[in-house]
Amino acid sequence: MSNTPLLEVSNVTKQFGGLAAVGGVSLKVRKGEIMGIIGPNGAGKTTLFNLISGHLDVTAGNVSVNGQDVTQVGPARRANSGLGRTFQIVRPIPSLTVLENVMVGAFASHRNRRHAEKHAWETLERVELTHRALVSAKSLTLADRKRLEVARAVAGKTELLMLDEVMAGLNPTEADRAIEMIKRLRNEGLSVLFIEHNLKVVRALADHVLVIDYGLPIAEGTPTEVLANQKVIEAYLGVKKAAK
Amino acid sequence: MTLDLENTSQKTTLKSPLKSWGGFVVGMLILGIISKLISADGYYNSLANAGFLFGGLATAWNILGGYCGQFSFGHAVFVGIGAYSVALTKTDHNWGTIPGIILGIMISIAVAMAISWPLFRLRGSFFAIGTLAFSEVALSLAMYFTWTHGALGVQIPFERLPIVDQKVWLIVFFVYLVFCMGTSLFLIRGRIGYYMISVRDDEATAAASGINPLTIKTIAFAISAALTSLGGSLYVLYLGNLDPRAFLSTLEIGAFIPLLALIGGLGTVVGPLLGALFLEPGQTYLRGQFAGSLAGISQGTVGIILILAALYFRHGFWGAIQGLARRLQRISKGASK
Amino acid sequence: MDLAIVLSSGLLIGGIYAFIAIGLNLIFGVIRVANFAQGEFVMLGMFVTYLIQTNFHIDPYISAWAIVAPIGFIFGALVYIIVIRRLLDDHYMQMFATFGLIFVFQNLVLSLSRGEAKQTKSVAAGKTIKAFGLDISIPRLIVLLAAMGVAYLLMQFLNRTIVGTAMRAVAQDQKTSTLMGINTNQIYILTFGISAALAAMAGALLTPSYAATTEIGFGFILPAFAVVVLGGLGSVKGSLVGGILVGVIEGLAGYLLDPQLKQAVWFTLFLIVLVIRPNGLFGKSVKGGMLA
Repeated sequence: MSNTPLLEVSNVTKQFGGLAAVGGVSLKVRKGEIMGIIGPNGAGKTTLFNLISGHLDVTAGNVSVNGQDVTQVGPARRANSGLGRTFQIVRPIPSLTVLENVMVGAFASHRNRRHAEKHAWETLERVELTHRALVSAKSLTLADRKRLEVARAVAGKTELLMLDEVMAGLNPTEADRAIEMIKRLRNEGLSVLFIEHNLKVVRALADHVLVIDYGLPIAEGTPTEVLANQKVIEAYLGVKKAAK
Repeated sequence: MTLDLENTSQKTTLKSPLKSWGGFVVGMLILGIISKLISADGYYNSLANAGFLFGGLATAWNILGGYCGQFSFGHAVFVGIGAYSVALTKTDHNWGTIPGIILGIMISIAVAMAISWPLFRLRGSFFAIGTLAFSEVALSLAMYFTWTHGALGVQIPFERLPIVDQKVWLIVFFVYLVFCMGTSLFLIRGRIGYYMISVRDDEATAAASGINPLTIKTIAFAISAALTSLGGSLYVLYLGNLDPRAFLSTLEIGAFIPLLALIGGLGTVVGPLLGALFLEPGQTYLRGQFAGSLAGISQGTVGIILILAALYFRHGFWGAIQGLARRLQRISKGASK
Repeated sequence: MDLAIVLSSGLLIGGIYAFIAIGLNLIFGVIRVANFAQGEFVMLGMFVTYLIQTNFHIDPYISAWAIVAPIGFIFGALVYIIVIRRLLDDHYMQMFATFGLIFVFQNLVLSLSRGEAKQTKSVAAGKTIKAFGLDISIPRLIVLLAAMGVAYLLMQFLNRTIVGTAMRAVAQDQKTSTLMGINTNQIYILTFGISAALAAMAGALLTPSYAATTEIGFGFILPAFAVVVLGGLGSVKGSLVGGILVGVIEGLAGYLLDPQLKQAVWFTLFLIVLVIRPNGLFGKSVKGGMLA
């Protein structure tokens, strides 16, 4: 493993008028690492994600991928630098089939149509979606759409997969399968940064966890450490309840 | 179900080049033969000429409009640029035909790229308004400057027209159509086609996949403008004269060409041609039948068709045909069970 | 003083633009539709006014608000119900349909009028008033004053009445408004009707100064869009100020450059505003606004 972290976020801040949605957050993701970001609702997690993926401009701070500063760069170039991102509200390209959707991602690394198609197939195998390859992307179930999002991101030049609440809306069986898929992808060399509410998933997946509340980091460590942290419990449950 | 492309006996799951291009060549051959046959009659010959020309123009528009989802109501600008480039260089400076055409194409590409950045930042309706405004400006500038011959337009001296035989024009327009449709097919099968569709359907998702929407839209715009300019050049050589109010008209051209693509089928290779073959001769027919007795009937009918198409017929002729084909497929599959 | 003449006539033209743009802006703001056919409502208003004057000898200044505006309202409501309502979700089909309306209206009038320009008679036609050492055209002055009056009344309506507030609510957030019990369909019908009525009334007020032709409507639509962009999407005040500004700038450009370059002036203005200040002078940063 090289010494440069795959993703380095330094003291990133986002102000909306007088309100700091994110106020000075730093994090590092190493190659092969799975890192989780958790925190109560409205804590600024998705804002932070948008700042990292480039869908929102920072007010201050830096974002670097593989040592290169991408703070001024838009989401498309960041995607080509290695940051693949999924969205909370899953949006496949409705006019294309599942396979073609993944090809759109694959074209980033394979210019030729046939090669892109082959790569897309292989990616669909990795996420176990080959049985739906030729249907229109519109007709997928929610769980399969999420797989498709991941596949499309992974088919490109993604080295760090950013998952925004990928478990939302999945039943326990689907969630377990998703966890297996993510672990498999990590074993194949992918790094993961995810936002999650489901703490069971966080425990199962994350090597390292960062906790955010009111746009500020309040704790960091392994899942076990963090979930036992008094401040974290207070943030989620409120001070009175936590005191019980 | 795995795909092994190393094993050459197994085909790709997408439409193979043979099927797509093969179908295209066969279709064009059939069209060519039919048009050769009907060209015996001068009236049908000129209908076919107009149909093929506007089919090509509509196909060119469709690349930006149907595939990339950016509806330009100002494409008359590029028709005008192509027309003026050829007409002025030929009439005032005795240029050859081809250099004039190439000049038009280059200017059109430059203009398209120049107005891309400010216009593509706008949401759909405003992009259309912007292109419309641009087209109207072009019209007023063309009527204003003396070097464009102002409101009089350009009359190309008869002896300088490269082609006067209607039958030869039929071949020229047919080749133009095939070229536009071939470009369309080539783009849609390749990387750019997929990118354009992604940008059309969901820009944010496209960006997250590493696609720069502005780049893709600009490329589509440039290609569309170039092909349109070529059509405009051919059109002015065909007519022999350039009336700015006809060539740069929003209502006759700028809003008419998108309508052809809409009626035939947006975002398909064949659709725009179908729309043109239906409406161009249709309009000429109406004008011929009612000239004098009911002014405005042909354009008024176009208006009604436009409204009905927008309300009930969004997928156009080709869309209806495809829908029919799907239903037949389902019926036959059900029957064979 | 030439400049004073230029400025005053620009001001008056601006009044016309403002009047037409207010209705356009209302439709934009509330229904989020680009009504390319707004100019045609003006044109139709002019022709109806002409018919009323020639057949019933009612002066345009009376028929404008008493007859033409209500007819315009009903017409607008019908156009909305028959054409626009089904296209609320698809911006592109809206454009096609409103362009279709342009074709239909223009050619309908063309076949009825046989392409002749129709000049309406009025008590104020051609009359001028002397002010600040200039001859100011009374009909145009009336249009400017009417534009200001209408803008004021409209703002009162939007801010002080329940229905007006409902309209503003729908303009800001259609989904939530529906959840709060506002019948958005009725609001849309009302909006379209009011906008058409305003356009028709503008047309009526224009008849003493301009002859009615089939193309006159389309000639107004571009400056109207420029006004909407300049003044700001969704702002009535913006349409008024923007209209006057566009009129003055057009006059100045015509004076300094060439009157024939009007279109170029509007388009350049349009582009400059879009690049520098996309929300216009008074526009709010509303969801679903101009920028992608």
